[in-house]
Amino acid sequence: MSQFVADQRSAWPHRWAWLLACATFPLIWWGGFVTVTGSGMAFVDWLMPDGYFMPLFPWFQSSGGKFVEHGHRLLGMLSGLLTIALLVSLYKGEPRRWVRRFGVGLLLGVIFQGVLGGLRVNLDERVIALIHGCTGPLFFAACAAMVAVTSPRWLNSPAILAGAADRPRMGRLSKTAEPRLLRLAILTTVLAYLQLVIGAVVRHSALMTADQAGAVFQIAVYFHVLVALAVFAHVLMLAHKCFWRGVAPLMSASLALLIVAQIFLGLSTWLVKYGMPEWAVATFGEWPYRNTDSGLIQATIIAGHGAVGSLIVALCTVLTLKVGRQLGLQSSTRPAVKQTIAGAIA
Amino acid sequence: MLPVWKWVLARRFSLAECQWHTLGNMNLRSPSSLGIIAALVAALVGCEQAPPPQFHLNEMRMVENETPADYQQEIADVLGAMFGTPDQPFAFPESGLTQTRLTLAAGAAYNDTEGVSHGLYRRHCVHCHGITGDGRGPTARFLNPYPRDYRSGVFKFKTTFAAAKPTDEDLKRIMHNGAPGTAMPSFSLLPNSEVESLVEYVKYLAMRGEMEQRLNQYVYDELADADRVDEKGNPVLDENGAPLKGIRLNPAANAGQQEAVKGMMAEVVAPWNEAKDQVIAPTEEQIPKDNRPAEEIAASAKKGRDLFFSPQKGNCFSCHGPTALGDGQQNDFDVWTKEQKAFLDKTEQLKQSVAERDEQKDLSDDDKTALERDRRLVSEREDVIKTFYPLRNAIPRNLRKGIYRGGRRRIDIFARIHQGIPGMPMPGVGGSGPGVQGTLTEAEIWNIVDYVLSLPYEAISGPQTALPENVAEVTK
Repeated sequence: MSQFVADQRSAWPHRWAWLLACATFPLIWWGGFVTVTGSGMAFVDWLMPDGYFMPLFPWFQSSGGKFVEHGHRLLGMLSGLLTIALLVSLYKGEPRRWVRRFGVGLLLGVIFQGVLGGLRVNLDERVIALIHGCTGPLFFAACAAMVAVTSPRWLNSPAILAGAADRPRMGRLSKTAEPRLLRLAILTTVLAYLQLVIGAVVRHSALMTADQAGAVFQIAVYFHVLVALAVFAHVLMLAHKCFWRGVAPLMSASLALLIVAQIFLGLSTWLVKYGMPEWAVATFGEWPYRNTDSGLIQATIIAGHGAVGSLIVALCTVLTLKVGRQLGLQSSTRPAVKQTIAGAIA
Repeated sequence: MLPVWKWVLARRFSLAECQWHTLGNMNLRSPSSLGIIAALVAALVGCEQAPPPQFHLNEMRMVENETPADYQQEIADVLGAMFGTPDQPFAFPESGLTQTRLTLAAGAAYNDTEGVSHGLYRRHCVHCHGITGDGRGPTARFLNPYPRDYRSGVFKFKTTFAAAKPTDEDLKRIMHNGAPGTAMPSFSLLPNSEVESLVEYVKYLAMRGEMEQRLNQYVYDELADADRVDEKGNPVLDENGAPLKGIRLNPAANAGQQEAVKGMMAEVVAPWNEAKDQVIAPTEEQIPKDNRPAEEIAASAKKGRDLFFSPQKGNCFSCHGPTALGDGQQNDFDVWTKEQKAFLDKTEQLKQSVAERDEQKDLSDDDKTALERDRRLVSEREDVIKTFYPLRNAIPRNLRKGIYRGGRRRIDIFARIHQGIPGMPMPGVGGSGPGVQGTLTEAEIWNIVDYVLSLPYEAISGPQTALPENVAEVTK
């Protein structure tokens, strides 16, 4: 079956999917810059910034908030165009119907995300900015998933699996995926995304003017810290298990490094934005540096924290798919093993 | 997806103004569903859009003065007429504030087609300092120190005499430099015009806060217990023929009140306009030169050290500690916290009093009425206390870190020592006004400045000042 599929498929969907993912990641960064620098309302209208047809707006002649916001819009447009190109390539050279439908879903997703961004501007509503900030990483994770499912490895997995079965066992660890690993992967992905949503609430509730904004911010901060610990532990566990079971070892190692970096970025984000909390001052002394509002260091660290969070969600998603793929293939050869979710993914 | 959809529909159906009935029959798989979902999100948010932000009254002071709710509303109305709203601030002519700057600083944040930034306060400041300027923005609870409450009109880091307001330059400087060691960042990337607009808005919030306090006090002193009179000046009686208490606050209809409000306004505005005449001006000849030899600086620092540790002169060590690590007194509070602490203490006393009276059996009717009143008051005060952040002590600065919140120029340190830090336990040792002699002379203050600036480089244990006896004998 897979050999048959592999013969018919084109390499272009995978290439376009890579391009799309590579364009979406900077888009997420740039979105973070927009929030950090408060450039979301640099234009009071969407689709026609200051009366210009969007692609024709003199971007390089603009500065400040307009430069940041329009850059985000252009990158968004690029992602949209790449999604269309991906979809065309899928319908031309992808025999799997569900992958083609997934491509349609991506197109709908990018349009939805664009409209959401536009509504944030046209309605000047911070809550939509928050939702926009949460759905962006979701789209990025979907792009990463598209890269995974269109890759040659996805279809050639049986060969990998066969090779894995021949490899020697390392201690108590099996060299193949198992249902518990899939559960861990799904849980980690959900936790990582939940953390991202809480992070978006932390960032945006601070800028809200409603009376309850303070309470929301405080609760969100506590949850963000709490879930950070859970995500840290789960990601490390997932990366560890995947690495030693031979499920995308390079990606697993990257994930482990990223989560460590993310914790440092999170601490740095707080420091460059709000300085040292009272309990930390008592222990470590005062924050000796002067933060500069919307400065390059502050903007890069804060936007980076959001972007790396998105990358972690995307990698967790791909890892989950890979684990599920292995399990699905195993279950197809061993029908006694009940793996409904894994089968569905594969 | 479907449960969310049902939830959204159920929620929307309850609102008469949102006609979404037809959506129930919609085919979610159709290509048009995306647009409709987007519109639904917009409608959802639009229908539940938060009302425009409003200025809040200082609840603690209202409860402290036992200002009734109707008076509170009247105070808010008067303030609204004088100062406008957070979206549409109004600069009354006597204030000396510039309406254009206020307009740019207030309202929602956006850029117009010319690229001019609007809503600067909400973009840069509100998350810490709050809409009313009460230092209670969403992030404030986690910050150290808590953000400044502008409403008292007290500002810490300035170059004017302690009782005076800061100059525009002082406020601009703190915005440009930030306050190192705190969450207050530098806004040095903002254009000067935007900084000026924000300075104007900070002054506006401070004036509004001070005016609120004066109006509250005016109601307490002059109106709440006064006999009510009609338009002809005759006392208004209730159904039992007893004179009604409480004159309504309505300056628009009462010439006397109008004059009183104008007087209050003048008292609030005058110190701001006079601030530039209240700048501490150190004598030109006594200002140390920038290119002094090291020996001269060391000699000055040594004198400063003696003054620092002198109980009669500088007495700095009593707070900053014998090692200048900020480990002297640790139990004092700033004025903002002192006010809250006094409120807490008074509430506790009142609670005890209520509890004691509760146990008494033979209370007269008057006593019972007073008890009920106090019980209600305790409840109101406890509601206010729930909104307090944990009280923090004003911890003296660790002078060995080299972090100076109000600026690290010698003139900044001079101003801190000369006039202290308003609102903080740090007292000044200079004269309280132009030409007034202080505890220390200007030269002595400059000596302390030199010592303070040398502290980050001085070993905590300090070198021995006298040679050991045997070494001294050898070197004779």
